[in-house]
Amino acid sequence: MASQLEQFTIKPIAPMEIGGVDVSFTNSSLWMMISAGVVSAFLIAGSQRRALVPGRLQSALEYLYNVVGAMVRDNVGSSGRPYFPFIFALFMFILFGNLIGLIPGAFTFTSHLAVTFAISAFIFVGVTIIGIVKHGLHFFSLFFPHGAPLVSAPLLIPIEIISYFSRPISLSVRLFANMTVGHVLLKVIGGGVIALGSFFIVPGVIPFAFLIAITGLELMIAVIQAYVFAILTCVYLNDALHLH
Amino acid sequence: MDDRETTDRHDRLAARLKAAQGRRPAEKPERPRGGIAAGMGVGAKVVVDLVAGVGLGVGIGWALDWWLGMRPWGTVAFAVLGFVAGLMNVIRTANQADRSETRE
Repeated sequence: MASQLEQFTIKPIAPMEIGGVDVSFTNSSLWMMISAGVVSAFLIAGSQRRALVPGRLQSALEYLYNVVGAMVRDNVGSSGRPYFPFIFALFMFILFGNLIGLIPGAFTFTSHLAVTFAISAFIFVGVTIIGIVKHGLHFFSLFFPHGAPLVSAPLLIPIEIISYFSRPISLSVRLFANMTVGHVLLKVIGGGVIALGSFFIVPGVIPFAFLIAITGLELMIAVIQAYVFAILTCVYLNDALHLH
Repeated sequence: MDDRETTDRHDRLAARLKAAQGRRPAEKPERPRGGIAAGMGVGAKVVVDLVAGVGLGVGIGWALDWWLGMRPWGTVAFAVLGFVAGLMNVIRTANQADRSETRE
């Protein structure tokens, strides 16, 4: 039986190298493109008819739009409106990456820390730049809680700085760990189905039932994690725009 | 259509919506949304926040030790600072959850 971790190996499809750096087109890039393509196809097809009474596709689209719209409104307020397209694109990309990754044989690019950290580092740097541009040096008051005694500054400021810099780490690790653990779990239980089922058909039914339940759970986690990722981006954006 | 005009239109629409909502008879309060899924989301956030704080603290301490050659004091101090930072993130999340609960 193949290793449970084999599903995460990155295989180059079109090897490329620029200046000694390996920039091959891999299965990870392929599934990212597929995910982006499916999102685009869904959005374009769903907004074609623009019916007053939406069809199924348009309803699904409007629902997702409203979810992200409400998320931005509740967490950032009306000043977050310019950032809605980015949050929506981010949410859709991760959501579809997670969901497409659950299809047997597909590659889950969100199960790689390199991918999730690249996204969260981009958000972190972007949000910090937005904060500095909007507030100038006043932005750094974020690192000193309002109303705290000045004597506590030498202790509080390092804590706040660590807390600020731990954001991209927790943001990326959360998504990566959830997806990796889920896929390993599916593979382990799937292996159990084959091992027990080939021994005798009846005991194989038990892990199979379990596998079905876990697949449902993973479906839920795929959606929740995309949602959490997007909502935390909103929270960080809010901090940068309004400095709590 | 420029940006200012879009914002104006949004604001006018918001005002009209507000007026229309005022005319509508009061609805029963909506039951809390999310339930188990939202709870799981918050749980996942809290755990990783705590671990990331400690992890980053240890990382910074380790790097400082290696740089300044004072092992193990930097690691010790920054692990504690990182733990406090992670704890503060958790407390903030909890406060936020409390606030949104009382608002509904």
